[in-house]
Amino acid sequence: MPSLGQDAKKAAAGERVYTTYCATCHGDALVSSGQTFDLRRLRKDERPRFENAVQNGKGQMPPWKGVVSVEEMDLIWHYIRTLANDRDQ
Amino acid sequence: MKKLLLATVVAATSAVLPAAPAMAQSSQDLLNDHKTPGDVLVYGMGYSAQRYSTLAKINKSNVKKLVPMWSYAMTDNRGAEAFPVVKDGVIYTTAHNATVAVDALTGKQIWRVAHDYPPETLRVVCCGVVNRGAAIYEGKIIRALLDNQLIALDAKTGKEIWKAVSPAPATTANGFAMTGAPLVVNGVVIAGVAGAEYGHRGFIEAYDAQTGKHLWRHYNVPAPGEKGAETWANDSNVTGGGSSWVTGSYDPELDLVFWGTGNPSPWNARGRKGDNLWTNSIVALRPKTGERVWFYQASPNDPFDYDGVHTPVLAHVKVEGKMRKVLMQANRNGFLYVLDPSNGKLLAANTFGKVNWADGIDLTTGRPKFNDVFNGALEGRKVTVWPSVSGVTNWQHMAFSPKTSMLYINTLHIGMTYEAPEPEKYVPGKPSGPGSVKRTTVLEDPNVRGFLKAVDPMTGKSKWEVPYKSPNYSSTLVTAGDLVFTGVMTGEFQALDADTGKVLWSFQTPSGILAQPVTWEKNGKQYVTVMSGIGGVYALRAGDPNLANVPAGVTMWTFGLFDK
Ligand code: HEC
Repeated sequence: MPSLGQDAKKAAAGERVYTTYCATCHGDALVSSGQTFDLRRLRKDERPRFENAVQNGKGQMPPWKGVVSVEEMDLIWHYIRTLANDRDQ
Repeated sequence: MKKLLLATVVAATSAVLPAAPAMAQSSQDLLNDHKTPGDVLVYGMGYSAQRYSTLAKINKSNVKKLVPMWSYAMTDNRGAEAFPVVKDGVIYTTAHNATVAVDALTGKQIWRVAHDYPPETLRVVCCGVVNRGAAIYEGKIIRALLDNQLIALDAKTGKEIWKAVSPAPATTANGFAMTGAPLVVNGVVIAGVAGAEYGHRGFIEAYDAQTGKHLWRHYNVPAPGEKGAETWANDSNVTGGGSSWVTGSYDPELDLVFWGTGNPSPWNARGRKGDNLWTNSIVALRPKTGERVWFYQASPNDPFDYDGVHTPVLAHVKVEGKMRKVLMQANRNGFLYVLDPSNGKLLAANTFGKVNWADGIDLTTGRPKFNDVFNGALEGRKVTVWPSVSGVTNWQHMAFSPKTSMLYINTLHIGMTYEAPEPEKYVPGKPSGPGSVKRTTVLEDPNVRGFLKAVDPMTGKSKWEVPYKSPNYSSTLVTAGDLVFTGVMTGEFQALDADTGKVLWSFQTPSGILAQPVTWEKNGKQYVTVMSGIGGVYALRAGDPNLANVPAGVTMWTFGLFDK
């Protein structure tokens, strides 16, 4: 069970990875127009869906396998959790 | 009538010269585009890129009766930014993944060609999965594809005539993508690239319009050892950016093409001390050879992503009491530059929006008077900067009316906090843009993020300004009917009074508009065409809450006066 501090650190690092690779389509601070999937909608239990989309792409979403490492993907996930719609549940 | 005569002459010429295909759009037609309002042949509605039409059948007195004639679905939900080409009753337009020909009077599809690209292509499309349009030349529709290819299609059938792959190193893996519309000048297809957010070394290049053969390439950043490389510390030129993603203009008298170059890479300027030539510049090139005749750099050593790509507009305006030919650019950095197109000499440079990173432009040296905000940014201090990385203009084209001598410019009114950390060593092939600095958005009023302005070229002062909740990324179009047409991000297509800025007419399209309105005439009736479809850099990434729920989906619309 990671400590809260560790999660916050991961989220901060994840923000940088997100800004580097993802913000161009998913928006600054995850806010974008409706044509791209709103990452804040990803639920706590949808990590497999997240990883599958990031690695393999989906529709107009490019695949990131070989570009974004598994560690970086973990950081992005932590960042997304801090802004997720269901974060308080 | 005049049109009919012209067609006859063209047909006769073709008969004499067997090499010329029956369907024209010869170099001469392209030169005369601004004089033949029945067609829209050249990006910018003529080589001067004025986006001005002499048509006045739709005007202030009757614009209220403007109604849609048809709409056409592009089968796409990315952003619509294309410039529609209109020739002989057919409209040619593009999406990132398709090119279409549509009957101009009915909206019925004549042909549609799909373009596939590998999914990885989108890894390096920083700023909207878009295409800004096609060029037409001697029966061919010529366009760029996202994965760095140019393709020429038969205007009649859509059949592929040639396809050219942009030579090395222009690959997705190296950060390159193509989103801009080509410009054809005397049989030479001139095209640009995107990629300064991925550490590419940008260029402008040319192909033979008949065959697709590669003719020349002008790198916008010097090679190691080349003159200009001394303006890049630490060999940073090798991955120095300098894109060319917005189409240029052309002056046939000077035989010069004017093209804006983009931001240096990475955004964080601390690892690339020096002026970083020839990024954020206007370059004047010989279309036949690519020789650079002059350049003017607007934003040296830029830390703020102030691409100098805004299409230079050529016109005659009064300078010191005398009418003369000038080149005008409403730069992303917030200054409106007026230059002598023959030599790049600066005639005027005034702000046309909120700017705080420089205290003006020195008219003798042409350089910005940098101040504490700029210097602080380079030293790594946190500063508040106007405009934001999105600029006072972004890529949206302005229009110039010779009748009013005014520029009609959609502007942004957004600032930012900015802080550049100690730069990391840049790894080629990695993104080099937004991730390299820290920013937050700064607003004066969340309900006013942009203005449409009527601006005097020589002073930068507005005759009128209309505020908008979100900035308009649509280009403007101005007509001899004294109407300014523009689109709004929430979908309204509007006609404003060119003299007062009053909104005279508005029509709600299904999605947001960030495209390029054009007007044309057929059988004595004037029409206005525009594409609708939200997307592009601002809607995708600016986090503007006003746009979060705007429906996606690309359509093309044509309007005419209700005369039943
Ligand atoms: C070129 C634009 C683009 C980039 C860059 C991009 N995405 Fe996406 N992404 C999309 C689009 C478009 C969709 C919607 C796909 C669909 O449903 O067709 C999407 C969907 C998703 C989804 C949801 C997929 C699902 O299961 O419905 C996730 C998760 C996601 N993106 C994560 C990311 C992450 C993480 C990054 C950065 C590593 C990223 N994206 C970068 C365009 C992009």
